Amino acid sequence: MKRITLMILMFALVAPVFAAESNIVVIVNPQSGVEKLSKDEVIDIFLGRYRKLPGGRVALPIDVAESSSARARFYQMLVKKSSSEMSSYWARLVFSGQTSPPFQVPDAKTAIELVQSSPNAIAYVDRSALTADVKVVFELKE
Amino acid sequence: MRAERFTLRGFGTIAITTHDADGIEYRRNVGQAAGVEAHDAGLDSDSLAGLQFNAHLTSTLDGVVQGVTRLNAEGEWTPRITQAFLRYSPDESLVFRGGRFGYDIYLLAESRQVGYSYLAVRPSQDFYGLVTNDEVDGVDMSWTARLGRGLVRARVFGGRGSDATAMADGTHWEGRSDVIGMSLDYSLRAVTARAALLEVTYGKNADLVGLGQVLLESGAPDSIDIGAELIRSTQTSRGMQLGIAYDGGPLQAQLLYGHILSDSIAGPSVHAWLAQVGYRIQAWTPYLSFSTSRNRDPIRSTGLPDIPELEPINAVVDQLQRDMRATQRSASIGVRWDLSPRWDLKLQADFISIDESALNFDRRGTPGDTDMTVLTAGVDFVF
Repeated sequence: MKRITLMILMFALVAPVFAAESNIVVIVNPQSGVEKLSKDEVIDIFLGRYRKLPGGRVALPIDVAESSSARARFYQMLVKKSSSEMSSYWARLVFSGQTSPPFQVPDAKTAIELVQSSPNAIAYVDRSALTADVKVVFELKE
Repeated sequence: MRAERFTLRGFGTIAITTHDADGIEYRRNVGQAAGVEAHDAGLDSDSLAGLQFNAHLTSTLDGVVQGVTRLNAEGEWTPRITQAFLRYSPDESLVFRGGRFGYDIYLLAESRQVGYSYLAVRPSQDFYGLVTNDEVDGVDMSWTARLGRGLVRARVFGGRGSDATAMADGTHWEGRSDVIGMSLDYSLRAVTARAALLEVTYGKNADLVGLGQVLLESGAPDSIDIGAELIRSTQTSRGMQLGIAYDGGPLQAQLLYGHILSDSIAGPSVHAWLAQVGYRIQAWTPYLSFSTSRNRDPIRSTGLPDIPELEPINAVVDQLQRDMRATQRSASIGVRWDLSPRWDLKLQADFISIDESALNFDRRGTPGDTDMTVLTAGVDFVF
């Protein structure tokens, strides 16, 4: 009985950590004037269909490095696409002269810094990496 | 925060094709001077390579230059500039382009050059095989706005286009044309629907004026009608396309109908359908497609007597029409294996039933119905 109680306690301690890591939030600069975004708007911005924030400001989406698990999880949760499928998707648009992929940065820390410095920037980070000076406008839950 | 000022990217396909129809040369489209012969293994039909240079000049202005080398209508691999334009976008909703760019005839893949960007080994031969040019030297404007939960995009374009068609007798025809068109897309999450119109106007074809004059002077009513079409100052082809595509999660599907109708026997008049579906299972995406193209109008006769003196004229008029006909059906099965986010490997089998088609060269003395199986293995890459 003691062992079972111990396992439940350990699970209770560890589970929130996993839950926190599994949620990805879309963030903007607090000065952007955006309160929240719908899933359709997030898809349109990150897939290069229509990069405009609700207030009329041009959206500058930011991707973290291709090797990052957050990026793979973001697109998997947003549009159910693997890294290879996203690469194929961008090949369609880039090589037909339509649009460019999001601006790429090496990690979540750089993405947050860019969002802090630009009211047009929009990025995604793991909720656990969130800082107080950016605004969450959409959340993807696993 | 700013995009990279200059970027250089590339793409390519190395694909080997073979088939089993003796006397037929299989090719990707009528813009290729040679095809793969039966029981041979050829690299020419689908292999190509391209480079693209992007210059991000200001926040609203950028430029693109793209060059591609592939087998052309002269039988050579001379690189060709496929895109060279400046894009001005004063607002995310409005984009203007000037220069050479492609126009919207592909629904799930906007460029047929980049094999990595689409599911099958090649764009459907039935649906796109008569299209030798999908670029225009001109200007376009597109406007995008939110409509309900989705997006609507309207685009108009106009300019000069060029075609190059390779004939079975080893000659090829090149023509310049005035092109205008428009397309309307509606996208909502994974679904995109499109309606597009296109009008292509050619000037008088000097090679056919002499034939037209002879036909006009023949006195036979049908012959006079055909002659009048050939000597007219312009000849027009009008195309229409309706399509819907789903690209969500592991499922990709598209259904397209298109036709192009011409006011002269020297132009194509074809109706085509394409249905394709693929489902990704981890790195593998098996797919199926069905397509058909059909000429609904019968071959027109000159009405001139079938006597030895007039046989060359009748033969030329007949061949002129056959060079633009494409009545055939295809069923294709294949699999795409994504080796990495930059490479894929594809295997595809096409089962084609040809009634009467200029898409492939028919070297048999007496062309007729043909069933053929085409096997292709290819690697696509981008960098």
